[in-house]
Amino acid sequence: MSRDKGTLNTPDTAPEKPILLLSNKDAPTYTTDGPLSEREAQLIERVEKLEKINQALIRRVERSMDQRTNSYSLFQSAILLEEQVRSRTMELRSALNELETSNQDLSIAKEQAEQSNVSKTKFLAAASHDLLQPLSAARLNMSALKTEDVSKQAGRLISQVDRSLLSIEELLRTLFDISKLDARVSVPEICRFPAERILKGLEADFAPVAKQKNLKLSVFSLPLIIHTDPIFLRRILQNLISNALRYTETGGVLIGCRRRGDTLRFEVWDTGAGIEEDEHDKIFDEFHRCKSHIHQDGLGLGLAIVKRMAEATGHEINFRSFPEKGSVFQVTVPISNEPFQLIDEQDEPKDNFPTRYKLQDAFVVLVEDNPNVRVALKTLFAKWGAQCLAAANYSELQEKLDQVERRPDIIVADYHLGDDLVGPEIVRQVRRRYGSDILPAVIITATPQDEVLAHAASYNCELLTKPIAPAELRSLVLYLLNE
Amino acid sequence: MNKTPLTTTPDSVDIAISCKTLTEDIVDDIYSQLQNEAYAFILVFFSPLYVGTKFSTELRRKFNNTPVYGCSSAGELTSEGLSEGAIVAVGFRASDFGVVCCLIENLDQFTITDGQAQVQKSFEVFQSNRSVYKPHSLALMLVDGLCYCEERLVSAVNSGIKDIPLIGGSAGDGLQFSKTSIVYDGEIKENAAILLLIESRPPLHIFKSDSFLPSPVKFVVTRADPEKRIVYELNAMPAATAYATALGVNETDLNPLSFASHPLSVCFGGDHYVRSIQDVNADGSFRFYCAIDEGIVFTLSEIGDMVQGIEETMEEIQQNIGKPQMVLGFDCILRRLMYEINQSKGQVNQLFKDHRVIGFNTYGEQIHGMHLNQTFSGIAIGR
Repeated sequence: MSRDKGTLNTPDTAPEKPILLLSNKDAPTYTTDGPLSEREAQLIERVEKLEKINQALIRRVERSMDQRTNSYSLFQSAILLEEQVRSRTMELRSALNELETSNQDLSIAKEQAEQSNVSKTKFLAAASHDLLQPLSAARLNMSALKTEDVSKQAGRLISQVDRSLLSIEELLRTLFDISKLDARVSVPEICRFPAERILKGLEADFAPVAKQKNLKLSVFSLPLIIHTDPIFLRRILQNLISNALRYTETGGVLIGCRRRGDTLRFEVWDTGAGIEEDEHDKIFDEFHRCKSHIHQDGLGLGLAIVKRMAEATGHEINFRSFPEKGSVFQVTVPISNEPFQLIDEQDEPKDNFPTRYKLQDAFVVLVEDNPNVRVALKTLFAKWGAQCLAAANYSELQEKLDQVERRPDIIVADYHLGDDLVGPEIVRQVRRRYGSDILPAVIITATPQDEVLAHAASYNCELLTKPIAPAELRSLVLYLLNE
Repeated sequence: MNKTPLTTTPDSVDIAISCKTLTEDIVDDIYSQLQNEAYAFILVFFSPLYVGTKFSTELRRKFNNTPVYGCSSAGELTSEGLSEGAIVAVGFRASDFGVVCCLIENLDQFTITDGQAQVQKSFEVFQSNRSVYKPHSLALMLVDGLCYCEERLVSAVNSGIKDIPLIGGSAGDGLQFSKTSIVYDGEIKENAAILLLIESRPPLHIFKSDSFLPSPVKFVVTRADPEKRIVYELNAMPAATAYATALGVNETDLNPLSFASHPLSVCFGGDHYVRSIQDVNADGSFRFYCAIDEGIVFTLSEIGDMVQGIEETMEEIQQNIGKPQMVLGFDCILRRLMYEINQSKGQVNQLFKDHRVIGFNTYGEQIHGMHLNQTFSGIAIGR
């Protein structure tokens, strides 16, 4: 029942003339001293609107009259309606059935396809793991042997075996990477990333290698934000630089970038032997090695990976070679004009997780394999009044989450968790479990390298570096809870 | 062992509230607050903070397979007052209540004919097992709040249950509008509704309270999509333009608070019923919480004194069945937003606590054959 106690009107006792607001000026009356044409225009507009309203009302009235003329027509229309409904329902049912059958066929086919893909990937993962495990064990034993007091001859042999083992390991890893790319298990996630950060990391990695070979390594960067998957791009450049250094004996390697309109072109120059023209078509093939390099280390897989990763990310790869002078490889990447933010959720829709405003009743999920750090963090959260569920690894976390009714408010995970999934992967699993893409997460790490940063950023996780300052952690968690 | 009751008339219902995290703790918490009684069924309303499945299943096990029914909420009405982030449970003692539950699934494919048939079947089971000691009856419906078919559902149900009064609420998800859950016998269902046919020893009183004041401002729906509950035009103008102009605000400033404080109503037989706007779409059209059509006339309304409305409702209950043991209440989420806006939250909180109002904030309320918005509806359980 409506309560008509206000001052607005009293519809029950004195029905007033209803107000229909028909213009933005909300004035149903018009002044007479305005110019005639304007008044006319206003009136015409008003009449048009009224006509439209009139039509809507007439249609409505007719519809309701239709059903209420007399008992017989009501009876007739009820029967008709029933009949119509029944036949429509039948039609709809058979259509639905057909759809269901074809859907089932499709989903079976899809399932089979997925199954075979999954089993292939699983096999690869298992094979690579099973192969790599004994290899690294063998290498460990080798390094133990090295420390033994052995003859010079034996020492040399040990080093050779070790080197061979190392290259087998590299070969396996690379093959595994290639199959992951082919099976689309590794899919790039394009984001905005500063070009400088990628080059800086690479410079640090390769400076010692260049120094060892007495080569000059120069890196020139531009402060631009690019659209890329930072992990993929880094890997592409890494392989190109590593090749350049490997096949250059004197001179040096130059890494630069040039802006070309909306794109940024990374270039890796070397002063090596160059590539013969008849080999230009083949250098991106698996296991292809140039004649001039045949006596050197290397598997011939570096460029095969580069090619696949470039295809996956959509970055163009070019090269030019000048026999006996050197080569240049170019990677072209689109430039982003928007400013860079590590966590960029501004235009994301609001997530479907309830927001908690205080740390006090927040429910924190913590994954940290180091027992000391784990206990310390758990104690901290308890001190702040939050509930904290702590686990050392993913399987323990799963077990514990099975006992919990409440949805987590935030995840805090270490990046490296021994042999377990890395932090961002755990975050992804937990988000999937609770059906929320944007459950806030913090990754903690002692090694804030580019990969870690990029990985965390691409999964929409914040990053904190160890040693953790409690105040920093607290304000970050609070901030994320209130986002 | 039974705990000694404080009153001479034994209670028919027991109430529990929990905010724990672990499933086991929640179940223990609720178990210790409910009496060690045989229950006909247990009702639960829970915040979307909780997953829902585990504790419902465990609760059912803990109480020797007593059926557990309920739904997710947009806020809970608990023995401690208004809450967000809690689980509230009500045990209906088997000595005073009996229940037959009808689960209606696949609401996206719901047809009135099928619904009626299903409800009729449950109704027959219910009627053939009536106890003479439980003369009162009630149909309690809980429905997925994002199913967009409450009108058809309620009309099918209402025609299948003869003269049993129907009351219900649309489940919420804390204003996220992504997914609501229904608990059916300890299991979580989506895209579903449950209808509880309840027989009761204590007398019952169904109520509906709303507090709004119709203004003389009228809108005619000139273009709409009734299937999708979308109104494109009011008075031959884009809906948002017409509505914002009448309110004297910018179109871009429209939000759930505007809709909560200035609802649109339709007039039937001298009574006004609110049709609440859920959201404004990018093209300036409105999405509604309930059925609309072309050619219907909306009256712009303002919110009246909600506290007084609740007080009057409690008075009405008192006159009909005396002081209730408990009130099962479905309070629209838009009303809850209004309590905050007009600063009546404290008073409402106290009123709800004083009268033991237990329930949740809904996305819509069903009473008799109607699906309504922006009401405080429910059932009071007498002594």
